[in-house]
Amino acid sequence: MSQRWELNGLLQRRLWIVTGKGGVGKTTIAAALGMMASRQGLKTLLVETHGLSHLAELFEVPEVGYEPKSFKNGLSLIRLDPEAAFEEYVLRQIKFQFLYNAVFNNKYVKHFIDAAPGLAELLTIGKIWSLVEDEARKGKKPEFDLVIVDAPSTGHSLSLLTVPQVVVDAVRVGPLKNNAQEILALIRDPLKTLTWVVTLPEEMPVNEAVEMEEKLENQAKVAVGPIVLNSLWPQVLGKDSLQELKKAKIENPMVHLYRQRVDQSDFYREKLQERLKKRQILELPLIYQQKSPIRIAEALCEAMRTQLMGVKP
Amino acid sequence: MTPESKKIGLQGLLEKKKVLICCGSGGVGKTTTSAALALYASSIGYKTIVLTIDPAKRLANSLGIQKIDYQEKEIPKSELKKAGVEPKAPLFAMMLDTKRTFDDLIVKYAPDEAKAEAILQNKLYQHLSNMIAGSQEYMAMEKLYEVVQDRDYDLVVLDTPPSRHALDFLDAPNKMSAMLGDSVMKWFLKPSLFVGKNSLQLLDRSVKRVFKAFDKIAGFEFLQDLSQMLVSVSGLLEGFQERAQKVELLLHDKDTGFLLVAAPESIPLREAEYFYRKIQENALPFSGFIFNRVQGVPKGPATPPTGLKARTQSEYQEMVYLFKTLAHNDEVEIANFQERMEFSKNGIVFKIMPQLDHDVHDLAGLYELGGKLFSEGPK
Repeated sequence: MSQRWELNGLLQRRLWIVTGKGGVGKTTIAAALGMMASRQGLKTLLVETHGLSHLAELFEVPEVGYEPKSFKNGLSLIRLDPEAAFEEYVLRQIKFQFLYNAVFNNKYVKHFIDAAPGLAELLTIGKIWSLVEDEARKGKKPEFDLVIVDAPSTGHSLSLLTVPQVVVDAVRVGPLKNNAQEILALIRDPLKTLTWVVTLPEEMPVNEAVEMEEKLENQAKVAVGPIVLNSLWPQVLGKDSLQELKKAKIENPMVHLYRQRVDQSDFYREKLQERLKKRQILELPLIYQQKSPIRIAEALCEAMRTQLMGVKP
Repeated sequence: MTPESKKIGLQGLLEKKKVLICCGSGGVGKTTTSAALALYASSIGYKTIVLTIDPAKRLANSLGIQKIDYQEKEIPKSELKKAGVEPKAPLFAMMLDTKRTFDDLIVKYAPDEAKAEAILQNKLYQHLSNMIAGSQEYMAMEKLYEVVQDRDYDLVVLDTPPSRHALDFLDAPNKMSAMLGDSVMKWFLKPSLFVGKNSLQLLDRSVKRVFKAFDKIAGFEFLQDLSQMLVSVSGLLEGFQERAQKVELLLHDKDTGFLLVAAPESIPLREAEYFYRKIQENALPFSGFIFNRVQGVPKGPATPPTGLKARTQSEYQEMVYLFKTLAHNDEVEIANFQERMEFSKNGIVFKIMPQLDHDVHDLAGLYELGGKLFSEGPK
């Protein structure tokens, strides 16, 4: 029996991490999830972890920086930047801006972050942690009910989620180790953190989703939420119509290609279901009726919501 | 002759280039394209190797081979023949194991075995070199250089990590040099840290402040580990730096070409744009674009055949609309892209590849794809 998710249960988490192979539509799904959460009344923060501001472009709003910016009812956006995170983190520890400036001039910081393996990932996940937990630690109500991260593609997402453990193992004492432990406590708490794996009905994305699901669970030890199967071929021809076309011997290249696409979608959907038996898979069609990215995200949001609301008695 | 007519095909490109670096964002078919290109090149007589550094081990998938170890491995002729390929030259593939390559580097550049061992055993080194994300770009460059330098391939095809990180990859040699030349790094290289915390008294005031800050954040012991590792590594710095400069020369060589692989969707095209500009900024030899997954409208009556039920008719119409919309969207995306970029097609490859009927994950499929990549007819 596969695991079933219910919208309200999902929304009780504090952190969603959206991951998957490059090109599967992570950013669009992250946007759709943001719409879904904010429409249920949650104050939601979307987090960009790439250099470019794809989410701002999707929502047709000006680029944002390192400060969360609200741009729509209940929806805010932030773009993470390892250099700014480095400054923020060091300042928290040493408290004096002048000292920071004296020691870490910009040129040096950039080289250091670029060259130290894993440091950019550590700073990113550290900042995500503080976005989720900062107020709670001070006994205040959190600014955001839910933080949704548009994470990098598979391998780099995994680094993001495993780097705190590396630090815990490598550093013996001190605030850095404590911080890494706090990050682990958040991302490994299944009641607080969930990952969403996005994939497509194609060979490599399916393989990578299966691999990722396994690694998230066993290597990073984070909870895996629903699997999102994006861009299924739209079945515009019903069974009856296909039957009739066949009977009337209407077999032109267009109908032929249509059947091929449907078959491919079905094949990989079944493959994914078979290999991820215990997971719930949300099936989303390729949205061709809409052109603008924001409308596409809205359509996907509706499709996911319907599947997560279940059938009402 | 108009500039348009001067654009070249992949076959023409092979006559000029020995190293092709395929870049682009994830999911645009970069790995498959690299493998198909390499396979086809070998079939027409170029002794070829394809290198991938992808941690998800996709090349193994693409080549339909169970296991690629981290060695250059020839694709068996029998396998190729089974797939209907008659190779005129051998084809090799290699997956880059970033951890192992890093260790190799240490061994290679360490003055003696004991020094190498000291680094390999350093706890911090072990953790850091295990972290793939930061180091894979350096390692790709390193291996690329080695393969180009030490072997006699006619063609080396390199599949790169997804775009944003491929940018790191362009910067890798620079970054390495800049990092090593940095003055703050040099503070860490003072053996005084070994003596213990009291040795901080001996440092000048500004350096002391840095160490105190680090001590507060990470603990003194961590600092010691770090310093110890860096001191051990410092003997290797010159070797590294020299190598980084040679790699940079290789990237700028006229025998090297960068191919940008993209798909006609807004995000991958934004990434491609960013990447193209980066290649220009770095004055790297740009060789062209390959657009994958471009939808075309299949032939077939655009109006539903008569005599069908009304419902079937309207569904058929919807199918036509679906195909037309997808094809139109792609066309518009590519046209907008071209307009934004204002590049000349002069002397570069500009190849539009139709969306395939099926997934390519075996040699026969790769060969067929390679044929299409190399075909010079109208798109």
